[in-house]
Order: sequence, then structure tokens, then C-alpha cells
Amino acid sequence: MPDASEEVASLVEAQLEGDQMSVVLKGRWSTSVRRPTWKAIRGERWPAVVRFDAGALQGWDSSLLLFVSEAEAWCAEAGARCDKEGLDPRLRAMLAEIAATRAKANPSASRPGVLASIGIAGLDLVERTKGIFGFVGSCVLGAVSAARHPKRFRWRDCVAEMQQCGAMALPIVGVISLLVGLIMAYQAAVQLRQFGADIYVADLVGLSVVREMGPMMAAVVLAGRTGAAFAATLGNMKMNEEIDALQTLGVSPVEFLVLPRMLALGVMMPLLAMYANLLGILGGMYVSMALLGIPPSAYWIETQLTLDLSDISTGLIKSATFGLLIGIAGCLRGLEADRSAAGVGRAATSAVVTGILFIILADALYAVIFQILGW
Amino acid sequence: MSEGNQSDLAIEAVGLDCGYDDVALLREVTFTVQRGEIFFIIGGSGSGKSTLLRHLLGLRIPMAGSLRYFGQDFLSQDPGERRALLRTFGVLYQGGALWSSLSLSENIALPLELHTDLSRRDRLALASLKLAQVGLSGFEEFYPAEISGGMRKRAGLARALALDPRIVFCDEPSAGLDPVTGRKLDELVVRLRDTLGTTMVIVSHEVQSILGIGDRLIMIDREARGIVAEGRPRELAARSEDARVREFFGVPATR
Repeated sequence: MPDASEEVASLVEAQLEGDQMSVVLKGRWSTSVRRPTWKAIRGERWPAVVRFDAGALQGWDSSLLLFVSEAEAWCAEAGARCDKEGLDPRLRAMLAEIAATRAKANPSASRPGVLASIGIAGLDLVERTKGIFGFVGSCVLGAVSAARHPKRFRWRDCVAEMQQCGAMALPIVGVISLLVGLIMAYQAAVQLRQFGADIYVADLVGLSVVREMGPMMAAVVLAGRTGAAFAATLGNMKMNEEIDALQTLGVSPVEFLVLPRMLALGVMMPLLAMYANLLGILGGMYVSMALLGIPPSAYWIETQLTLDLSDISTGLIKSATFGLLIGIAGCLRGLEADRSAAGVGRAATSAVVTGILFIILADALYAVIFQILGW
Repeated sequence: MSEGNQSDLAIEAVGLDCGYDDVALLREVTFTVQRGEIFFIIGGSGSGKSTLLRHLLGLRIPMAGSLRYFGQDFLSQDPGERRALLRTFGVLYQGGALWSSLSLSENIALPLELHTDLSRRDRLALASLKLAQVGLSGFEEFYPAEISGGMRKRAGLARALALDPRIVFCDEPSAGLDPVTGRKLDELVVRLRDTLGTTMVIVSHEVQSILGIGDRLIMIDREARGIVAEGRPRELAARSEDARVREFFGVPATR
């Protein structure tokens, strides 16, 4: 195999006579062969005239276009004359066309610098935050008008969504809650056994599942499952101009698309949370029986003694809120998605991230509120 | 570009049967395309234009017949050689089909990255040259979603030209464009043909551009399941006796 310089020498030869450099092109130029660069060919020579000769050229493609345009750019910069008479007329025509459109290139078509990007991102954050509040506001207004005209509400969509986000989520929510109950009971058992306080596994698992883990686990699963689906669906509808079609009909997309989904989530989330609570407690019961030898009936009675209505209802209030928040995150991100395949993908990702962030924030806020109220 | 001189014919199709699932939509399609010609495949909606294009591109294998590009048999070649031949094709898809997660220059650089040994700098430089050729200088860093439909078509054409194709296939290039933008795209096609010597095969039903820039055409029809007319657009529009051709060009029927 010939080395690089030999390969290059078989394509071009440049000789300086006086202040005139003649560049002789030969062989077969192809983008699949390594091409010489103008910089390497010129070396440290400073010709006043560059003359191309393509007499020995056997074939060419865009690689020659690249080489000649490099030489042209250098000539323009160094103030040298570029004589292209010896080149294929088609190549000259191409170069002329490129030069013509470059001359009238759109100057506004440039990217912002680092500082400007930071500024744009900051303004964007403000806009997005405003967007969230505006969206919540239009949801409230939509809900009010839907309450006034219940016949206009899309009950059918709402029920279909309930099945999608509620009934269809039972297996995954069940598996996750059961395992979380198992894990918590196992950790608690190891510690509590040291004090002979085995039976309090039931208290610990019962309280933490019902107050925190049940609603939280159900919400996280739904944020990933349903929030992303909402964002992808609405994003696709926007890309397909379906949202515009609704608006031109005088129908608010919030009332038509968002409210049924929010209601579905708001109703199904507490139900799913109750189901998650039950399975979490069952998981704890199994570990206590297998590891600590506590009979299920004793475990059940201990759980009943610990839990009162306020524990269960705080969990359910939280989960209804989580449901609404997931709905807001999913629908909002879907409606503001860019009209492209990548935009819809970003919207789905962002819906999950925003949804989980909202859930955690709301949970922290509720912890403080319930503490103050003494629930 | 200036290599290989096996045949003056860019495309020779003889007795092609095209269709899906063993049902032929087109039978016995026979036509030739000269080098450097702007060749139109026309017909009404659902006549099988796009089907024929898919078969010409090798996305579907014809049920019968032979297909030769520049004298080389396309159908009976082994997959490796067929890929090599496909490399000399450029395709402009109906919506531009630009990859939406890549900027315009990356869109054009990607085929170069897959099929050539150019360095990254050269690929981007060449992408910039190709964009300038279609009049999109300065839009290198834009994403497809940020530019208009006409610009997307032009960027799609620049991508089709990335690998110095010998034939460019265009699927409904002026669909969805306003007449002025459509005409500019037609002018661009002619200019590229003149400067690059590329053969253009265009599927279209835009009478304006067919009469304006077409060298020759074939018209296919769903009922006839094949070619119903072949020739120069203006002559066909002016003199064809075929009712379907007259109707297509909006010429009132003689009888």
C-alpha cells in the first residue's frame, strides 16, 4: 500500500514559477480516497497567481470541489488571483453558484454565544414557570365551565382513560408495592429483632406504607406509565395539527383533552393507592411470618390497632393530589411539545421528570402541613 | 461524476411487474431514461407512481422484468454490488425526510460519514458547500423544525446530492409548496442537472412543473395498470389523442 504522500502526489502536483503556481490535477479524485489539502500543497509558498490544470484528470467528485474551494478561499484571503480556466466547466459553474449564494447568505442565521445561551435559558425557565401557572389556571377555568355544562364533558374519554391508567396499571403497581412492603419489613425485622420488638414490624410497615410509600409508589409508577403516555399522545396530536383543528372549532383543548385525563387520574390514583397499601401490608405480613414466625392474624390485629382513619385519609388526599399533578405535567408537556419526532420524545421525558419532581415537592409540603395540623 | 461510460442510458426498464403481495398494480412497464435527462413519472393519485418509484429504488423487488442502471443489471446482482449501485442514487423524499434531531449540516454529513473516508472537518465543509448549492448558505446550524417547508425540500435535495449521485429520484418535490416556491425548486432542479449532469427522475402530478422542466415523461394509470403515454410533455399536452392524457393536462376533450 502506498504511503500518504505518494497517494497525494498521484492526485496533484504544484510548481511555483516566479510568482505563479501551477496546480496540476491528475488521477481519479473521489471522496472514498484520501485527498490532499490545499494547506499541505501550498506549504510555505506565497504565489500571486494560482492556475489550475485539469488536463490529466481522469475523474472527480465532491472531493475536488472541496480542494478547489479551499484554494479559492485562501486566494481571496491572501489577495492572490485564482485562475480556474483549466477546470471542468461544470465544476466552475458549481463554484460560481456557491459563491453567489454565499454572498447573499442570511446574516441572521447564526447561533448565540455562551452568555446569550445562558440568558436565553434563563428567560426560557421563567416562561416555562409562567406556562405552568397559566396552564393550571386554564384547567381551573375549564373545570368550572365543565361543571356548569356537564353534558359537554367527554365522559367517554374519561372512562377510557380511567381504564388505561387505573385498571391496566394494577399488575405493575401491585408487584412494586408488594416488593416495597417485603423490603421494608425485612429491613425492620433485622433491626427490631435485636430488641425483641418483633411485632412492631407491623406498626412500622403499616404506618409507612399507608402514609408514604403506597401513594408514592403508585404515583411514581403512574408518572412513568401514564404521564409519559399523555405527553406523547398530546405531542403527536399537536404535530398532526389536531389541536389546531379543535381550536378552530371553538373547542378548548384543555376542556376536550386535558380535563378528562386529569379527572381520570385524580379518581384512579386514590384507588390505586389503597390497592398499593393493601399489597404493601401483605408483603410485610409475609416476611413477618416467614422470618419472625409472627402469625398473620396477630400481624393483622397489630396493623389495625396502629392505623387510624387519619393515617389512611392523609395518604388518600396526597394520592389524589399526585394524580392531578401527574396529569398537569403530562398534558402541559404534551401541549408545549415541539412539532417534531424529537420534540415529542423530549416532551415524554420531560413529563416524567416534571411529574416525579412535582410529586416529591407536594409530598414534602404535605408532610409540613399534616405536622402542623397534627394529623 | 465523469467516470464510467458503459451506456448512454441511465435507466432501462423492461417488462416490470410491480405490486404488493403478488398482486400486480402495474404490468409490463417498459421505459428508458437518457443520461442527464429530467424524466417525469406522472399519473393521478393512487395510480401507482410511488409504487413504481419504490420498485426502481430497490425497496421492493419487481415480480417480473429486468431493470438496468447505466447498463448494469440491478435485480440479479448480489447484495454487495447492488448496494454499491444504490450509493450512486440520491433520493428526495416527499416531506424532505430530514432527521429532525440533526442540524442541516449534520443531516448532509451523515451519508458522507457512512460512505466516505472524509474527515469530520471535510464532511462539514462539504455539507456547507452542498447547502450553498441549493441556496441555503448560512443555515448550517438550523434544525429541520426551524425552517420552512420549501427550505426543508431544498435541504433534502442537498442531502440527496451529498454522495455525488448519478441519478436523483424526487418524490413529489413541489407537493405542499406554493407556486412560486415550487417554481424555484424546479429551477434548482434544472440548474443542478445542468451543472452536475445528474439524471433526474421525478414523480409528480404538478402540470406546471411537468410542462416547465420535463424532457420526457411516462404517464401511468390505475385502470390500465401500466403506461398509457410516453413522450415529450408539451407535445403530449398539445397533440395526444388519449382522453386520459388530455384530462390530466386540462385540455378539453375533442369529442
